[in-house]
Amino acid sequence: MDYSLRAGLFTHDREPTPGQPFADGSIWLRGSYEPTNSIKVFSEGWVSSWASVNGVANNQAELREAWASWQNDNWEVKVGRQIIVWGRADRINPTDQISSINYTLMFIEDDDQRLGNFMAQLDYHVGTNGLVEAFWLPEYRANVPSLPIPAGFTVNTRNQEDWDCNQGALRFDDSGGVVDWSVSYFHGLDRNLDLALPSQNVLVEQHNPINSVGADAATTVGNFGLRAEGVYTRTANITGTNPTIKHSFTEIVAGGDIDLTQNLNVNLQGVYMHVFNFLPMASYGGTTEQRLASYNAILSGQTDENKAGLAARLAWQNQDGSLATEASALYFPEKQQYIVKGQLSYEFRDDLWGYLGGDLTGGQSDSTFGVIKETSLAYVGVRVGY
Amino acid sequence: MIRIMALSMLVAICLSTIARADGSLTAQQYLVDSDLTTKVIDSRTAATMTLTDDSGDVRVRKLNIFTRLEPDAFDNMRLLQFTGPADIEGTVTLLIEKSDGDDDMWIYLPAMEKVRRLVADNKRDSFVGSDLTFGDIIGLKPSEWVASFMREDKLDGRPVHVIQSIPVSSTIEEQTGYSKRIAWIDDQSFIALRTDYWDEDGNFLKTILTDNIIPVPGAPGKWQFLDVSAHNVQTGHRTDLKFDNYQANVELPQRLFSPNMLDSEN
Repeated sequence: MDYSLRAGLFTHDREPTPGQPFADGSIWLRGSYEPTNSIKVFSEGWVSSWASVNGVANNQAELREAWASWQNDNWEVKVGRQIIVWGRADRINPTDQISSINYTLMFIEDDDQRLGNFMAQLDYHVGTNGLVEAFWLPEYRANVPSLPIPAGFTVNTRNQEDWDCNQGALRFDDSGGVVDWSVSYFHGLDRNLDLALPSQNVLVEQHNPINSVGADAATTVGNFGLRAEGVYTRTANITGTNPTIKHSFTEIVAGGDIDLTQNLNVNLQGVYMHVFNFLPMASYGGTTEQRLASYNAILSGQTDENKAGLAARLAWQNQDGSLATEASALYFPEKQQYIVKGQLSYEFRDDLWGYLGGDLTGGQSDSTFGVIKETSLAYVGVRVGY
Repeated sequence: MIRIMALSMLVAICLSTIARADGSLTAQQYLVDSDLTTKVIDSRTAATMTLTDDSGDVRVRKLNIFTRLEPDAFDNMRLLQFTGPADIEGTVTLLIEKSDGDDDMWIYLPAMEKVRRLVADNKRDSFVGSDLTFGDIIGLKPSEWVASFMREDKLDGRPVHVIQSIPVSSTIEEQTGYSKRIAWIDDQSFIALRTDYWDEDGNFLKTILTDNIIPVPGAPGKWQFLDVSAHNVQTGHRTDLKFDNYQANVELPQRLFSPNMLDSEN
């Protein structure tokens, strides 16, 4: 059994509304048990308490993972709440369809925002390098975004969680050759929301069925690491005329990294998205439909038929890894929208780290990053334990 | 400068390839035999790595190390699985030696739940903050170094041959981070009891010592060191690695050394 204590002071919470400086503390626990060489049981969860300077406070708890696995020479079965991450691109993973993220959680590390889903996973090893993974995902947990609410509207039914037995995924992975690659398929509910308008001025969060086909690859050429990832997602908006459902789309990320010096790594990636059956906002009849279609397009990044951007990440650490700093940015010329992140961390000892960092988001007021620019923040934090 | 390097390499190559008059091994053969002496069909061991900085602060890492030879009986695969402390527990590194090209490296980070492929240039990087590089862990390929005899000697009472080696190219020097090595190779086991390293600027960098050398049970002619100590003279940092319960010929499956096994739970 391991524990971790994590705390941070933030200038703002991660909701796109004017907010107050904010403090968050959490206790993490994880444990594992291996009664035999082929059986393992694992669980991890956290309890968090936060408060803002104006006295608003709340508590949250999460059973992040709780699963049991059995493995023999060729097979592995894993059942329970799990976090599964897909995608070989650097930090931007369009094929990452079966894990959930709560972007509003006040944790310093982005990976801590992931939520587990109950699933049954069956793996079969093909030869030395091949792996077939099959998933049944009865539990559905939506991503929780920072959601700006348009003036004059309210939003119902946030943070949806449900059980839907009609979700499944399949993936084939080949790693260890000249190129590591995989292909994947997901059928289930979209973890990212669409908004419907069942009654005047009341928006309802909904998660519509999708089918996604994805692929990724990674290799090294000389001193360069090369990675690419892409997905085609078919939504329920077949003709593109439904203002309450995002359009089918394809998203591709490709790029590489190199060590400029022994301790400095530079990563550059291009990001491209194409929206199928794209319609200008004026094509939707009625002012309300246009506003709804426009708002859904902003939330899903579909304000243009084609969108291309650039992502960069610099990472440096000292010789023994005790001091590390990282800066990353994603920029789309379309509507001049961007997100910039920076972090400095120091390892005082094996079980004690300090952090200093911040996020900066911006863009035109009708862009995906522009509408959440109020979530920009700075923080200082500490982690004890794992 | 380039001409001096080329002339030095030419002289070293000539010296290393000329068979010795008494029929004993050439300097290059010593490098090859030193590389092969610890390579067994497969092996497993627990290990404790102690990192000590110049102010005396100590950090301890615990890991399991698995090795397996490729079918060519020359290229080695190494799987290093960290079991402690808690912040790196579950981190797994896979290093696959490729004599006909760049070595392959992958790392699994539990916090990210992903496997990442690393580039050959990463071989000069420090292995988890220690004084050993990824290249030290994989092993430096004899074919990428030009060896020459310096002298016969004794180290801790054991007869040794002292071999100097330099990279065959600036690319190798850049990838490994070393411009020169001098190794005291034990005449009996061919294990380098001591190796001194110089950095790319030609400055003395570190010394790696091996100790507690045993013949590998069930593998005639094979030897293994159970203690490794690396001391970086430039930073004053020191790394001690001790192997515990070393076992060879344990029939490890080939699949264990596949990147898509790194995040396997058992």
